[in-house]
Amino acid sequence: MDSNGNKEKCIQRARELAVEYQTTLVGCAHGSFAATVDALREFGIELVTPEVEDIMFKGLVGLTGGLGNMNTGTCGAVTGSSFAVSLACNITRELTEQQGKGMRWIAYYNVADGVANRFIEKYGSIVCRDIQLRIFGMAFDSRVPGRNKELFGCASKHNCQTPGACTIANGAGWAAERIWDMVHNPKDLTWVISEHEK
Amino acid sequence: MADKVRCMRRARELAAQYTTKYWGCAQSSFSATLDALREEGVELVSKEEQDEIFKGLIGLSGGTGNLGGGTCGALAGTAFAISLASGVGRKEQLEDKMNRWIAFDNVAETIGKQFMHEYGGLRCRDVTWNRWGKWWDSWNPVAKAEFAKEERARGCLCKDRCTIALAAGWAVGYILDILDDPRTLEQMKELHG
Repeated sequence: MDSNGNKEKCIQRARELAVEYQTTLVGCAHGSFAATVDALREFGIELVTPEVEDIMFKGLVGLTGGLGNMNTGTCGAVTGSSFAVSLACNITRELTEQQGKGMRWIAYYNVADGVANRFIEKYGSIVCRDIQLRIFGMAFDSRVPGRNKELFGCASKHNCQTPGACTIANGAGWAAERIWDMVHNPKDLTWVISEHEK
Repeated sequence: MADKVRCMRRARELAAQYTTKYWGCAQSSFSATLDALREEGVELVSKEEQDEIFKGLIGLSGGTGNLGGGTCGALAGTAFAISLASGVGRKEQLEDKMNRWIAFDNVAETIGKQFMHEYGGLRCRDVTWNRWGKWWDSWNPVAKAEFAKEERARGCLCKDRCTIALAAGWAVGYILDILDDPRTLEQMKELHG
């Protein structure tokens, strides 16, 4: 079923869609999430129906730009892609009630290892403002009039809107990669605990 | 019509229950918010759709992946609920990109500002630093156990002190306000255009 060729194509597709969505849908949290889910769907992995995806999209819009475009919370690209990874872990409310609180660590592990720590490795942080500072040498408060446009202008100057450079594309690509691995090689809580203890 | 005060109280009660049932700030605060609203006849999504969202929010707990450095999970879960109530989907964004500011402002001007005021920041570590003067690495088993011990010792896991419960209470109040008097695209264009 799996082939590394398809996996790489799926990751690349998530990156491309993320860049496309930054122009059409505008926003890092919902954009990275939609790119991840849509790319996986194109390759036969349907995490949720398009209808449920749109409901999740609505919830994620407000988490964009470090939450409400306030820039001081988690980067929206981290949030959207982490949400997708966590969704793929499939830890339901019912499962938590039946199998206990430990189950949540499967989601924590995959989010931390698959997305968040990769952001920390590349940008030094998962916080929106810190990532801007690392990339641009400056950070913007998007809620101050004019600063949001300045941020977009700065991103354009740095040629950020490409599948290889865009932060949102990185988030979507890393999420697609992790989810692909989880689907084709699922790990249970025992494995997660043993991996963490290493 | 929903009773706002009763709904806020109920959200806090549910959040306090869920905190020790689901053990995660994002999924617990979100579930308490939506369940309390549902009891008052406000159904943002179906129970089935809510359970799908629950799965996605687990990973945003504890400052994202329980790493502490990102947005407080109680804030992420409630902000998600507020954004959901804003109703800006893919269709709305494709119609007009400025629609996103409705969700941004609904989150930033309510629960975002509340967290800034109460805790001096949005991140998990801003909250713990402000409340307890301490940071814990939840991936460190010793620190994690110490956090749980201190949390219980301080009586934090109750509806009137728990950050998750407080956030859920604030969120239902804000959501009822938003539904009663929604922000409009025209307002957003004037403010942010």
